[in-house]
Amino acid sequence: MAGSRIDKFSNIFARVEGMIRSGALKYEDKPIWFNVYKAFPPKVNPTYTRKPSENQQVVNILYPEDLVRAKYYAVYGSQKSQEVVDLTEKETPTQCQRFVDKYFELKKSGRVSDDDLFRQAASFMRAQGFKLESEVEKKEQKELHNMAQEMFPS
Amino acid sequence: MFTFRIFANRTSSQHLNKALRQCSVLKGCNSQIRKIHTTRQCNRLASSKLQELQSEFNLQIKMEKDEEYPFDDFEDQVLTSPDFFEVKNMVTLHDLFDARVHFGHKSGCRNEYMTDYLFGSRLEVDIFDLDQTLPLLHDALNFMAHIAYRKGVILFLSRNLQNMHLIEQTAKQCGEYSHCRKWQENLFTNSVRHYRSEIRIPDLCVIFNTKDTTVEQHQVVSESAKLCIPTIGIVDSDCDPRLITFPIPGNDDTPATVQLYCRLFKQAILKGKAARAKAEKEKNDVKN
Repeated sequence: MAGSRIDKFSNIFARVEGMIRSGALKYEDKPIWFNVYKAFPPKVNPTYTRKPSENQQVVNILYPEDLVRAKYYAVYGSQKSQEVVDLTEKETPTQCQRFVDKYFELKKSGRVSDDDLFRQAASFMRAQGFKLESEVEKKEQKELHNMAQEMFPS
Repeated sequence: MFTFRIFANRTSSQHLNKALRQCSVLKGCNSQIRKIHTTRQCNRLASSKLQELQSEFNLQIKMEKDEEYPFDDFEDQVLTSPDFFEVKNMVTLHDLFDARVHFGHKSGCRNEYMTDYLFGSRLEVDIFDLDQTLPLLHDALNFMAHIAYRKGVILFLSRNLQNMHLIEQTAKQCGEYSHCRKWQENLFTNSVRHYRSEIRIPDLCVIFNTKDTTVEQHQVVSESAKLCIPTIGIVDSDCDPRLITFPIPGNDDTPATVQLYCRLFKQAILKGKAARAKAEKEKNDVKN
C-alpha cells in the first residue's frame, strides 16, 4: 500500500485517513480495518510521541496478614518435605494460609498478645496434624543426627 | 446544472476567489458548488465565502459534511451495534484474576507508559488494575471479531518458547496464521526480497508478548505500524504500549494466562467468521 513509513509521528488511522483526503488512496481501496477503527477507536491514541503520565507513583500493597505470614516463614520456613503446592489447585489453602486464618480467628475471639496468638495458632495446627518445626528445632535435630552418626558410624 | 468542485484546503480562499470569478462569468446559471475535503478551520472560512456567493448569484449550494463516509456495505452495518459479537459475555474480571493476568514484572523493570494501568506494587512486584484491563480486552476482542467478519488475515505472533506450540495450534484451529519463530529483519517492510514474490501481509497482528528478548521489543511492532497494520498486543509491565493499537495490559508469561488469551482470541475469531457465514447466506437467500 502506498504511504509514508514514518510510524512515529502519527497513528495508523490518521495516516491512512490523510491519504484518503489527499486523494493518494481511493476510499474504495481503504484497508479493511479502517471503518472498524473509526467506529471503535482505541481508548488511548497509539502514537509514539505521546508523553508518559506525570503521576508515576505506584502505591505499595501490604495487608495486615502479611506480617503474620512473614513471621510464619521466618520461624518455620517453608515446610518443603510436607508441602507441595499445586498452582492449578484453587480450593485447597496452603499450610501458611491455614495458619493465618486460624490466627485471625483467634484474634477475633479475644484480647491476647500477638506472641500468644502465634503460639496458640501453632499448637492448633499441630493438633490438626500439621508438622510445624521451627528453624531452630530443625537445626538442633540435624546437629543431634550428625552427632549420632559420628559416634555410631554405621 | 453546472458543478463546481472546490478543493477547500489551506488555499481555500484562493480557490474560492477563482470560483467567484467563474461564477460571475456564469451569472444567471444555476450552479452547484460541491465542497469536499476540508479541515474544520477552512470549513468556516469556506462557508462564509459560499454564503456570499449564494446571496450574490442565487446559487444552489450543496454542502457535503466533512469526515463522513457512507456506511452502506453490509460489512459496515454491524458497526452500528456497540457489541455485535457479544464479546462482553465472553470474559469476566474473575476469569482474568483466576488466570493470574494481574501479575506484572518486578517493579525495577517497569515501563513508564505502563504506570497508568497498575493497581499497585506488592512486595516489589507490579500488580495490574484488572478494572482497566477488562474493557481494553473487550475492545481488542471486538476489533478482532470485526476483522474476522471482514475476512481479514490475522497473524498470531510470540517469542515465548514455552507457549509457542499452544499459540500455533490456536491459530491453526481458527483458520488463521502464526509466526512464533525468530523474526527476520524487515520481514514485512521488505517482504518481496524475503519471499521472492509479492505476498499478502496480514490485516491484523496479534502479539502475545511484545518483547523479542528480555530487553528488545519485537520488531513486528514497528514494522506493522510502518505498514499501517493494526496490532493487538498483550503488554506486560515491562513493555512499551505506545505503538500497539489495542494494548491489553496483563501478564504475558504464565501458561495459564496465555491459555486464557488463546481461548478468547479463538472464540472471537470464530464468532466473527460464523456471523459472516450467516450474513452471506442471508444475502444469497434474498437474491434467490
